[in-house]
Amino acid sequence: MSEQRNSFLEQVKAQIKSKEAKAFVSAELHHHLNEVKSYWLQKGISDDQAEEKAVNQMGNPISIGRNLNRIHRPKVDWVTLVLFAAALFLGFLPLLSQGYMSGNHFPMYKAIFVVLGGILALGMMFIDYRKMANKGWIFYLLGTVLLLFLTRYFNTLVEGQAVLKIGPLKIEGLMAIPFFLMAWAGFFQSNRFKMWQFLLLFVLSSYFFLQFSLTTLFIHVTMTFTMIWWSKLNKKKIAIVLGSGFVLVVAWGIIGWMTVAYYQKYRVLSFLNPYNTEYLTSKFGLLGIHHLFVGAGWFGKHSFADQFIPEAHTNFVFLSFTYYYGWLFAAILILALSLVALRIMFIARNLNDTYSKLLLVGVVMVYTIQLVGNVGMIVGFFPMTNMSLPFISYGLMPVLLNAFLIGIVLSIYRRKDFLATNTLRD
Amino acid sequence: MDKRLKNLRKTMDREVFAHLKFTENHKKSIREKIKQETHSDEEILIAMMQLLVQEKTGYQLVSLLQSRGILNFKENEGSLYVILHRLELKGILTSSWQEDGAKFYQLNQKGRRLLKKVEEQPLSNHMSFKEILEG
Repeated sequence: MSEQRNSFLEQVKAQIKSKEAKAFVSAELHHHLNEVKSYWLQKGISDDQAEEKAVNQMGNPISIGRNLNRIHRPKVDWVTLVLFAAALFLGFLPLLSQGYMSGNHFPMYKAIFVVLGGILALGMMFIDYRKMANKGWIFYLLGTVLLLFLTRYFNTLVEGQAVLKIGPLKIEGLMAIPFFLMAWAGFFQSNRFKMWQFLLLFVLSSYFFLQFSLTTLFIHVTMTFTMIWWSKLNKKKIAIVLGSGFVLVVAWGIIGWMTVAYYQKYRVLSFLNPYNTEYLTSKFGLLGIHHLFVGAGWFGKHSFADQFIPEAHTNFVFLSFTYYYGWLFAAILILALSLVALRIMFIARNLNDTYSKLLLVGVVMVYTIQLVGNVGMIVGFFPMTNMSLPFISYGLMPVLLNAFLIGIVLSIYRRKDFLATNTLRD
Repeated sequence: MDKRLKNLRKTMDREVFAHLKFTENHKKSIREKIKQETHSDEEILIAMMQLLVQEKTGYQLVSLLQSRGILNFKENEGSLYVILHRLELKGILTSSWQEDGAKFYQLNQKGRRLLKKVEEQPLSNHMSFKEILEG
């Protein structure tokens, strides 16, 4: 590269803040200079003169650079960030309602969780997620190792689920979901990924998830099946595979139904028909929840319900929240949490890049299943599971999981205008 | 105030303009500027969009614009990329990189719709059009 050209490009780049923009602007101008130069060389002037003419034709590097910088300033998605902060802030309200605010470690821990979640999401914003695109295998391996580790070395059983408890930390199978989200997005964006590879990897990972709970498996399956629709695999093939998978599951369910124990049938039946007489005898079931939920009224009872709601600050946080603050506040809470999902869908709609789209589809699914699942089991259209309400349920790991999801969104938004450079990769 | 301004003019005449020679080069650049201003920003943008119905690099676009008599980018070819990047950001253009480092631009569906609208009613004030011009 000639001295003149180098100094021109350096001057343009010096005006641009974003590292990514610097690289592709410089590449594009470099190509332009080459074309102009070869035009002049064809006219029969010397190499030096052609080079000089090419650079001079470009114009003022400072003003070009400055204008390009204005276009390619790294962007912060303030909408998602504000919604994220609002959701984290709302997460303190249940503690208030349960009288935990005075003389207890809960608020302090919660504050620490929130700060850690914020740091994770903001930190991820500065990481270039596109570098992860071809590392699907590493994420798949990490996720599998985590699951295998948990099945071997758990130290607590919570409702039949293997959980590794380290101090206040509760590591469960759900924590492998982010790894698989990254893994599937990486696999599906590739042109070389084949259907048989998907089936093999999917069956294997589902088997590991099954060692934990149906809830986690359900999240994994729904996430994967939604993401595959945006993959580069043939749509017809996907439909055939998903269809036959569905048929298999239904067949397995029917055969299973005829062989399972009575109490397992009872659990399913009591979900389908919560008001049968047997059910009323159970200690805390759907009827109890329904009773509290309806009893809350528009403005709530303003009394603490944690003595008769188990897991009042984790799985049943939406119930205790509604009981204390009433339907109106519950509706506002749901609205705020739904806006997060809508915002992510809106961002995803305007993207052209496969990998970013896959990631956002996965993020929306994992987030929405938690939200719908948790609210659904309180309102009564979803089975009882141990799904936590995003950002609101107490616990470090759920907060970190959802902060991770938000982090992906922020990272993608920051680079969404550089995505065109990505097409080189394929 | 009036007097002070007059003084300023006198000093300028004496000090600055005495040293300034109006050369042939100056004349040429002024002529060129006058010639350039015959094309409004809207006209340039419409010409660009018409040319970008088919996929083109920035270099190809500059040469084609010049052969259409639009000389705004003469000695200022870099500024074309400012407009191209702005159009891309507004979602009117899609781009793709070739192996050899060439970046191709093409009008997408939204861009084609905008072009059709602008071609049909050239005088009306299109909001999106203004936005693009002002950045």
